[in-house]
Amino acid sequence: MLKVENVHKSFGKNQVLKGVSFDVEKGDVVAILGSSGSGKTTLLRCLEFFEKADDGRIELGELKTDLKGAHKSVANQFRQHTGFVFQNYNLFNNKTALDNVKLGLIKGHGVDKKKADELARKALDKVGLSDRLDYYPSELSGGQQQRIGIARAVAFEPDVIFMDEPTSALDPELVGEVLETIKKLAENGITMVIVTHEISFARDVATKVIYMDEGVIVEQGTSLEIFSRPKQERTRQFLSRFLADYDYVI
Amino acid sequence: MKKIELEWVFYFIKESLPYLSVTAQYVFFSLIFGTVIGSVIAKAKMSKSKIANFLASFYITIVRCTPSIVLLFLVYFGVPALLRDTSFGAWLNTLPTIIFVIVTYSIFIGASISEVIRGAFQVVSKGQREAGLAVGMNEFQTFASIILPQMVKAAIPNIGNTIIFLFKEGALAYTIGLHDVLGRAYFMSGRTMNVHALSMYVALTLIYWPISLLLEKLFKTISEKMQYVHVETVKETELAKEVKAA
Repeated sequence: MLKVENVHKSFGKNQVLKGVSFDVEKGDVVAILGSSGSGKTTLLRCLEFFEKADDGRIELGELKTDLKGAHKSVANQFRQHTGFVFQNYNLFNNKTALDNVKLGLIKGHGVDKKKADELARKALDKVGLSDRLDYYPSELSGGQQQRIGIARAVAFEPDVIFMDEPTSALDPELVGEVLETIKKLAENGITMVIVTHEISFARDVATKVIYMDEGVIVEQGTSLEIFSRPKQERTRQFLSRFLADYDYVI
Repeated sequence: MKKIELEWVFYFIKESLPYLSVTAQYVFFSLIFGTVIGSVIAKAKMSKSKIANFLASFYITIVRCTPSIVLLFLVYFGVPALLRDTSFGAWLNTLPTIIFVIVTYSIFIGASISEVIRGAFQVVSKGQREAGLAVGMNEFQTFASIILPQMVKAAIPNIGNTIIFLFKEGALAYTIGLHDVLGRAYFMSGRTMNVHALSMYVALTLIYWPISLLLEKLFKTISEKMQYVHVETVKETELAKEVKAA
C-alpha cells in the first residue's frame, strides 16, 4: 500500500539518507529503529514532504510521485492520506483540544462542522481525553498533549500514520500512557510507521522492524526475525545494548 | 510673569479637543500603512535572498538613525523640492499636510513594526506550521488559522506601544503647520501673543495624559484577555481560593 523507493537526502555535504527503500502493507505496524543520527527522522520527514528529498519515489494507494521537486499541491494530496505525530506534539496553542482535532477535518478535509465535531469527539474518546475537550495545550501534561496529537492524526482516518519518536520528549512516567494509546491503535488495525527508541515496545507491537544505520537500512524483516534471529552483526550489536537482560537467565 | 489661569486652560482644552480627530486620523492611517511596510520588510528580512535581506536591514538602519522630525522635513519639503519641475511634484504641492505626516510616520514606524512582526513570527514554533500542513491544510489556511492569531497576540503589547508613540510623537506635525491637538493649541496661543502659553501646556498635558494612560490600560487588558486558558479552570481556581479563604 505504501511503497518507498531509493530516498536520498543531504544537508549540505552531510549525506543523511543514502537510498532507502521499504514497503508497508495495510495493517502493518512498522518500527524504524536506529541510533541517533542514523537518518530515521529525516526519512519520515521526507515522506511527509517536510524535507525535500534529493531523490526517491513514494507510492501510496493510487498516488505516486517523485519526492524531488514535488509540487505543494502534490504534497497536500499525500498529506490528505497520511497522519503525522510529532516528537514535540506541535499542538495548535491557540486551539482547545477539541478544536485541535476538528480544525484539520474542517479546513483540511472539508468535513462539515457537525460531522467534524462528532469525529473529533470520537477520536479524543479513543485516546481517553473526553474530559479535556475544552482545555488548551498549555493546561495539559505532555502525555495528554501527545494523545491529542495522536487523536488529531487518527481523526480523518488516514491510510497510514507516521510517528516521529512520539515518546522521546515525555517525562518517563508519562511514556506509558502514550505507548498504551499507540498499542490500542495497532490492535484496531491502523497502519503506522513509528520511529522509536522504545525497543521493547517495538518488539511487542510492531509487525515489521527496520533497522537503520548511517543513512541506509541495515536489515528489515518481521518483528520475530529481527529480534530473535538478526542476520547482521550491526543489528545484533544495536539490539544487545537495549535487550541486554535477555542475554542471561538467572 | 507667566501663570496658570484656569479659564485659559479650559479655553485651550475646548479649542484643541475637537482636533483629536485629526490626531486619530494620522495615528490610524500611519499604523495601517506602517504595518503594510513593516510586513514587507519583515518578509524581506526573513527571506533567503541576500539582496532582500540587505535592503531590509539597510531600510531599518537608516530609519532608526533618523530623528522623526528630520524625516518629516525631508518628506514635506525635500521630496516636493526634488520633484519641483515634474507634474508629480506639482501634484504633491496640492496635497493636504496630513498626507505628508502619514507618509512620514508610516515610513518611520514601518521599521520598528517589521521587527515586531519578525519577533511575533518567531514566537509561533515552526512545528505548528508543519502540524497544520500535516492535517491536510494548505499554507494559507495554516497561516490564517494557526500562525496569524498567535502572532497578533504576541504583537499586541508592542502595537499598543507604537500607537502611544504615534499619538505623542505625531504632535511634531505642528512644525509643518498641521492642525492636530497640539497644532491647534499652538495656533490659538499665537493669536493671544503667547501670553497664556503656560495655560496651553497645562491644557495639553490634561489632554495627552489621560488618553495615553487609557490606551496603555486598554492594551494591557486586551493582551491579558487573550491568554489561551480554559475558562472553567480559572473559575475553579478562584472558587478554590474562596473555599480556602472561608
